[in-house]
Amino acid sequence: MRQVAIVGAGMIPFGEHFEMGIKEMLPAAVAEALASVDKGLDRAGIEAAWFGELATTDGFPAGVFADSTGLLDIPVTRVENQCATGNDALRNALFAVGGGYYDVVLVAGADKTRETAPGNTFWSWMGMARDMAWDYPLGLIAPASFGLHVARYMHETGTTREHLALVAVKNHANAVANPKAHLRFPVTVEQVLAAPLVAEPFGVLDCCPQSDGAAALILAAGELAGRYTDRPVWVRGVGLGLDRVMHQNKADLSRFAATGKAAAKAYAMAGIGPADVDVAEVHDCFTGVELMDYEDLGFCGRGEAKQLVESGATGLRGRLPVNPSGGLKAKGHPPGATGAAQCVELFEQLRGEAANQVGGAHWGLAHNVGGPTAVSAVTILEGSRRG
Amino acid sequence: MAVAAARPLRQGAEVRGVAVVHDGERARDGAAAVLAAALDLGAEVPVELVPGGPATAAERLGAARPGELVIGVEGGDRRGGAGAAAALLGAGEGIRGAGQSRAALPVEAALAAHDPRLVRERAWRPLLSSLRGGDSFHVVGIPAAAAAAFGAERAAGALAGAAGVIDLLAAMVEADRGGRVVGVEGGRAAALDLGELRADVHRAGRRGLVDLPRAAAPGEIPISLSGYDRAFPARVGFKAARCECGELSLPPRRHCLRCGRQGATTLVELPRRASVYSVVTVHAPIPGRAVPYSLAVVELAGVPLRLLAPVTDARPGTTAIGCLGALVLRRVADREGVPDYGYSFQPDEEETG
Repeated sequence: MRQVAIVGAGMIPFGEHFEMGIKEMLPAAVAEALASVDKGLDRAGIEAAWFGELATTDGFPAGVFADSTGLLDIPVTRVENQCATGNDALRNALFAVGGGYYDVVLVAGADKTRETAPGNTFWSWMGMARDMAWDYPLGLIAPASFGLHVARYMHETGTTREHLALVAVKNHANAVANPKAHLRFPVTVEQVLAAPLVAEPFGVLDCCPQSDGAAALILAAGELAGRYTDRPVWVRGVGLGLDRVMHQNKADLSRFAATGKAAAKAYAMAGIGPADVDVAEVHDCFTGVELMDYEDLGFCGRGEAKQLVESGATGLRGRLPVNPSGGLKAKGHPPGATGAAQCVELFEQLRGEAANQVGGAHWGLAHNVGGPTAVSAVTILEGSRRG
Repeated sequence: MAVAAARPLRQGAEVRGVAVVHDGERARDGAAAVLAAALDLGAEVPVELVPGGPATAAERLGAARPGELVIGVEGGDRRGGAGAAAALLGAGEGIRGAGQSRAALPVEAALAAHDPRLVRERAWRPLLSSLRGGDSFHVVGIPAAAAAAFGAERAAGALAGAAGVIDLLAAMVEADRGGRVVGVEGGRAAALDLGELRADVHRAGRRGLVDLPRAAAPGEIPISLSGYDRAFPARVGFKAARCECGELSLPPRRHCLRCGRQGATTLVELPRRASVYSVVTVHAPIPGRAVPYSLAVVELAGVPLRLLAPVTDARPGTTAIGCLGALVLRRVADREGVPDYGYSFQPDEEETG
């Protein structure tokens, strides 16, 4: 397979964009990505696109993408893989460029969770991710779905709600400096613990916001990357993993089996291990999930995530900064855009131009786990500043 | 509750027909199918839903034939006491109808007008004087103090509807005594005599509960009727699929993941004891749901299967990992007007806070 590089990346700020529909957000994100290409790229040079969207806001997703961006003469494939959508769109585009079928392609992701009222969102989005006869009517909303995992994880490892709150404190602090983040305010452990409960063990401040947003990446064949930039970011590893869709059929709720499978594939493809990662953007839709990610991704051993977050190791100045963008928790989580936006953050980190720059970052990892906690995607990127 | 009351009677017994006397809530056609599936009755066994209270229950019992299962259900809306009781009639003349009577007074209207004396003198007194029979009789359906004033014996339980009549029968059978029972509902009453009883009677109730959750915010929970129908036998009958190779699956799979056979499965009953593997309590307001509510993944006793189940009959948030309990049939949701039944986890009494 040919080497593949990201040569441009952009996103619109995540938030409640009542003033923008999917048709307005998409072209804005694509324009940002094009504008970020150091030596310039005309949109006529784009040969194909992969577009990730969970919902079908305003109808047929691939058509809405082509129509709103003006890219009517190239193939557009819609990707839907729950919260792993953005990173899976990147994975599919990688294979097309790496396989030699295209030289320059676009990866985009977008969703508008605020197109429905916050209350109705529970049922409408759950319908995409639940067994309709068995689980759906029970009200297994997303925080409860992840909560069943985190409750078991806390039980087995002695992790407490205070440990969970430290994740919120860290990621909110990171979001303050990120102009693209949805929730740009700091929180304290006390505030997190005192916030109204959503689904125990999660209070409101343990949960990501319902965001609208869009993000885009431009991929180019390695041998052509120099036409567009002298500082490409290399796509070195991708992995996708699945698990049983119903919680009652998952072997061990204290882990996300899908993450383990996706990470193993991505690490093997990139030829690195967890200890090599310099900066990570991981799935923290709910605080406790980030702690479980540390273990599923191999950042620490069993039950050690609480020490990792307590020690500050995953803070901005720690040995492995996690979610310097603010994460889903504070940057926001429009699912189709989330994975692509993680890669936008890593693109900036590995080129040394991020809002919360991690010193000397060379290897970056992006991770999502979602739907009925049954799919995960991991992407490993490498900067070009070393060697 | 009706199922919980009737299941012990069903074990090994032949049931030729079922009459469910209920207090009016949720009298929908789906309920008969739910009951039949949960009791494992053949499709040829008639199940009749009869709206009514104590008088209706007394009438049905008085007219019941051997093999007929009469179930009384009341308080499903949880406003007052809630409970169910069931009687399976045996051969012989154990229960006889002893007449019915009617009063002219519109009792509901009189009670609504706060005139209990009028009701007592113009409805209950004439009804009971015509139906009281011998020296010893019981009344279900009027306040205990009023019943005592008419010379009736105290009823044992707190149930005052259709279930109360059968509940009273159960108490009389346990005490090995006969006598007359009068059921009163509105301006109507019916009596039955309990002789040498050849009926099995069983009671079930909700526990004297629990803080009521906040009422559900308005909102519809969508349903696929096709999916509902497909899952129905396993969900309501509480069954898993067992493949010829012995592999169990829940929900049932037609394709066996162990041996690869297609459609070589039969439905088998699941054990109803379980322990909590993980649990979460939802507090956020959810349209169409009363909150807070707890959801648990429970491990079924003796089989390698788990089930996601709502927690019932316990204060939300008090059920912990490791807690033991039973699986009981409940209406788990209302979906576009369809009552949706499934199994809920009922923690053992000593496990609840």
